[in-house]
Amino acid sequence: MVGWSVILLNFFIAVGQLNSLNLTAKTVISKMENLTRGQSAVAQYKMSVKKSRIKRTMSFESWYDSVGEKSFVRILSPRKDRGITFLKLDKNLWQYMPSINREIKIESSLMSDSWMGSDFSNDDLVQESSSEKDYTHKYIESENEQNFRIQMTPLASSAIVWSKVIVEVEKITFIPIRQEFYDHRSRLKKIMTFSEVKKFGKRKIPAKMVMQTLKKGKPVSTTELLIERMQFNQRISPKVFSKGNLRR
Amino acid sequence: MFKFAFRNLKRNKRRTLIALSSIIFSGLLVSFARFLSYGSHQETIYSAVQLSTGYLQVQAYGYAENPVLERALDVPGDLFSLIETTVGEKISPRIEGSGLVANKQFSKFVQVTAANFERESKVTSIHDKVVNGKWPGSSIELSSEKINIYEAAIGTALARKLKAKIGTVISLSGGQFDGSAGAVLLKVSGIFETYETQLNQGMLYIPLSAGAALFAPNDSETMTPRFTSLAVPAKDVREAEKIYEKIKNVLPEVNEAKDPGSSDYYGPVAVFWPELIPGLVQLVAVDKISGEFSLAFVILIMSFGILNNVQMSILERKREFGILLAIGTLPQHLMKLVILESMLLFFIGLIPGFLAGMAISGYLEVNPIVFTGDNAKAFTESGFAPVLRCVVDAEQLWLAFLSLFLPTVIFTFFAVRKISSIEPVTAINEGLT
Repeated sequence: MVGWSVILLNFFIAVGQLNSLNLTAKTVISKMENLTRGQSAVAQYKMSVKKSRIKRTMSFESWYDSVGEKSFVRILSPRKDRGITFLKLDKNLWQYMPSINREIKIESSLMSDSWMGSDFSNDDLVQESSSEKDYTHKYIESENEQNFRIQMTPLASSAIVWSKVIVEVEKITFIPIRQEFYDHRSRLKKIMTFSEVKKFGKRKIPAKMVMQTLKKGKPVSTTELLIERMQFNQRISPKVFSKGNLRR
Repeated sequence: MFKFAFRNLKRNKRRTLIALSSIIFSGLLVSFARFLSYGSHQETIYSAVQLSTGYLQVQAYGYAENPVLERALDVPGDLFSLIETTVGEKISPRIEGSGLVANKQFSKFVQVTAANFERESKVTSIHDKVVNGKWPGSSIELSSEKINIYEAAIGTALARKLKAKIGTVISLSGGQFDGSAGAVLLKVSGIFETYETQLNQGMLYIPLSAGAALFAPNDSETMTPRFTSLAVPAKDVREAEKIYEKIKNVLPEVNEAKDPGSSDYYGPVAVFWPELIPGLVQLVAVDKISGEFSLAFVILIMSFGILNNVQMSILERKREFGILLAIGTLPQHLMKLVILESMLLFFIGLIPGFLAGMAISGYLEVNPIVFTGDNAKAFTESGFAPVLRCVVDAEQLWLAFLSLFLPTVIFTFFAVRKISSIEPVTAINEGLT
């Protein structure tokens, strides 16, 4: 019996691998993005930033609608940042500052800038760009047989600042493992690693993302992003994605 | 021998006059051009230093290379007083950073300088450039929502872009020291205009208290104040250099290796103006080189004139020299004579040339020509102050002299070599036929 089950298991693994090998690189990315983003998501995150003189932790809630390309973020802590909100709507990014009771429009040219001093960008936060739609994809050789390694080159029409992004995705599950971001001189500038796969609803996704910024090959700052709670494909009231919600 | 030389020069008055006028003209042109470019460069650097950086600052190690808020300097009270006692005058702590300024739907990404303007006025003169309103003070108003409104000064171009007038309340947001988002409300109290378009378009001045609220640089645990720089007042470059040395001596020595911009050491260092405005220093250096090239052309033309002059004078007197050689004059003597003639000619021409150059330059030093409007743009767009000003300077005069004298000497020697090859017999006979 044991022998049979081993053969059967091997067979299934082989089929799995065959299946995945038939996939185009674009499909793999699409499946990965679909897994981690869903059509919509409501989540709470904890973020900690470490630089040589700075250590700070903050938490925030996020609402995300992939279909309508809308998203909303509200900072919960620390106290001095509590109530700062972000809304992405119709390609515009708005930020509300409670300290001056005003909304500020963030220019699209600033999308690649750091978000709240972290290693993540405004773009990463509101998921303005899509790994599937804004890039062309091709397989490159991976050192780890368990993973796909895919090179993504941004389309000229996108506002992405990288010259290429290399993504590693686990073959069977399509869980992202690692992303490398290269600048226009092909220098590695940022590395994002994914870990601590957990179940959120029916999905198993990495609960921890670590983004490192490199300067001359050495990490100069690190941001850790932890998913504390996440619900996929829930109906989100349109009121969430309204300018009125910024000041709530 | 002087007599001979003078007599020889008088013999062909026309040629001497032509040569003389070319030397006078070159002397005038070269000295004037040098004084002018020296003056313009000084003016450009001086204005930049006066408008923005000051001659000298104390900053955290690596801030000059990587001017980000994160590299602000911890300034505990004892460091502040140590520097002030060393300098002997009030220094001006600043917080500089960047932010997004907005008035309704109009917004612009700008550089922000926050300073105490009483202290700052000892270092820079930007407060003199207000064309409308007054320079921001430290008074604070409260908005209807009980939010602090600080005063601010913006440039004319930025005011146009934001559609802001005196009294308009604008918002300014930017990243804080720890990376979180900061924002303040500001009321435009003054609008300034300088020749530097960058300042007019993209610089915003706010009081130190507003800077502290916006950028929150102070250490969150110890509350040690942090500033991006401590600007030190100085009357001129010379005084600044002395103070610079003094400050360097009292500050701890830095033993950091390369790459200061990303070093983990943030101790205080004194920074002198060339490091504060490296772009401008480079621009001036490049301009100097192109200036030297055009001067080299003038000098080359003049030198060939002299070569021609000396050669002709030798050729004309070939028979005479032949006879002199035949009766036993040494060729060296004749060479000396011709060299002396050439030098006499050179100095007789150069002195009035230089005097004229110095006179014009001296006039422009006292009464510089300041361009305005579109004429000024040609200067400011290439990064220079729109001012034609000469500075009469001994070093520049010496350089002008050398650059004219050396080619003259070389070319004269070159021409004079011919004398030694004169054969008395053929020379005398040639003259006869």
